[in-house]
Amino acid sequence: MEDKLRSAFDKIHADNTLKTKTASYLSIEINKRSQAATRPRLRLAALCSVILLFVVISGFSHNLFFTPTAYVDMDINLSLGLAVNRFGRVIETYAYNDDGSAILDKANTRFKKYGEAMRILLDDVISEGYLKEDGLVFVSVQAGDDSLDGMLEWLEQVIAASLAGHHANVETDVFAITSEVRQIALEHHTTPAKYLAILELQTIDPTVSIDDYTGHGIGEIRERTRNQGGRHHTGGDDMQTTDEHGQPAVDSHKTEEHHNKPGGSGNGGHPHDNGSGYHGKKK
Amino acid sequence: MRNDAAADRALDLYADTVRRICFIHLKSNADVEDVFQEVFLKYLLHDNPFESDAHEKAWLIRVAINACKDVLKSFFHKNVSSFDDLHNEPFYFQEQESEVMDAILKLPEKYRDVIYLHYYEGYSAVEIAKIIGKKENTIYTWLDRARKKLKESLGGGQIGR
Repeated sequence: MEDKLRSAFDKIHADNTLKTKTASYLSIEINKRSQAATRPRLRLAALCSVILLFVVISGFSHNLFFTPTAYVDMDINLSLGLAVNRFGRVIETYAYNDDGSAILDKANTRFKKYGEAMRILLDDVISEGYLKEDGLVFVSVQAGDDSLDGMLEWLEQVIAASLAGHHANVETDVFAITSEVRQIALEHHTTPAKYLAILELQTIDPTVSIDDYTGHGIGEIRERTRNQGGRHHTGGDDMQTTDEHGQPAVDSHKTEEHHNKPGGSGNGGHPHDNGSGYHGKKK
Repeated sequence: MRNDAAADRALDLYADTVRRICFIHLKSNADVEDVFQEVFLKYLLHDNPFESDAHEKAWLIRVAINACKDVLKSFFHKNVSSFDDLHNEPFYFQEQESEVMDAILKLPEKYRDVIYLHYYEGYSAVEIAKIIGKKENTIYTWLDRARKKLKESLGGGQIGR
């Protein structure tokens, strides 16, 4: 019986017609699928190129947007700074002291125009009581030549508008600095304005160390400079000298002397000369 | 995907095997042609390498059986009668062979598979179980029942285990 089964199945063959038809069908399918496999590869390559282009453009745009081209540093007694991109938007904020940190935590300035950011910061500074009626606001700007003047002018207007009315007596100064000055100031972990103020103090008292004064407010440093006048300074502990009205005591002789310097401190200008990187734009 | 040479080789080696499986399941020439082509197309598209020729053959048998079952289960096949009756095709069976083949074709499909795989292809029940994805005991049962039915149909010829 097994032999009969085997013999019966032996009679069944795939005939040549079926084989030939199948071979030709398979050949057609192979070609079709090879081409179909190639097309997606081409499409994939095109898609990859588009994605790559998109990534490159995105990366370039991202880089363009998030690269700072200007820095605005502000000293009141708190110190903080804004990194500004080529579109005038604030892309980074940083504080130089705890009060600066507290203000930046409160204020939302990210991606705002630098003028608007300055207005928001000043509003918060005033409302939080960091700025006294006879205080000072020093703002240094490091920027390219093409945008520097515009930035200085706008910031002056914004500051004037923010202080108008209730803080009319606040001494303000908006001035340009070079990148070198800012870099050195950063190395001392301080703002450019404060660094320049300390440098001026050093011209009067060469024994002063920059790092000894970076922890003091710019008002105190300027007051110290005024108080020292021609005297030799031996330490920073007596910086809070005030007159009978509680106002910073001013050495009239030195103040007059500074009035004659570009950026001299006596008239509210920046306390350093052009040779140190001060560009001389002041109020 | 395998190439033309692989297609030719597979056709040379396994065309008859696939054709026999089609024979015991399908009646229509068109169905046979469809299944035959589909099986070898699946072979070409199967990228994973086979461990051996035996593995390759077993894979093709399983694919062929499943393809036949799929055709038989299809709505079209259940609802449309074919004018083309394969079993009127000119396979030249001698009288005894024809009698045997008639008896095989009268068996339930699952019995036809095990009879073919065991008695013609020489697979053991264990191997058949692996090929068609059933338990060994099931295969033993089917073989036993198939043998009994064939014996009844063919009238007493002994079919050994």
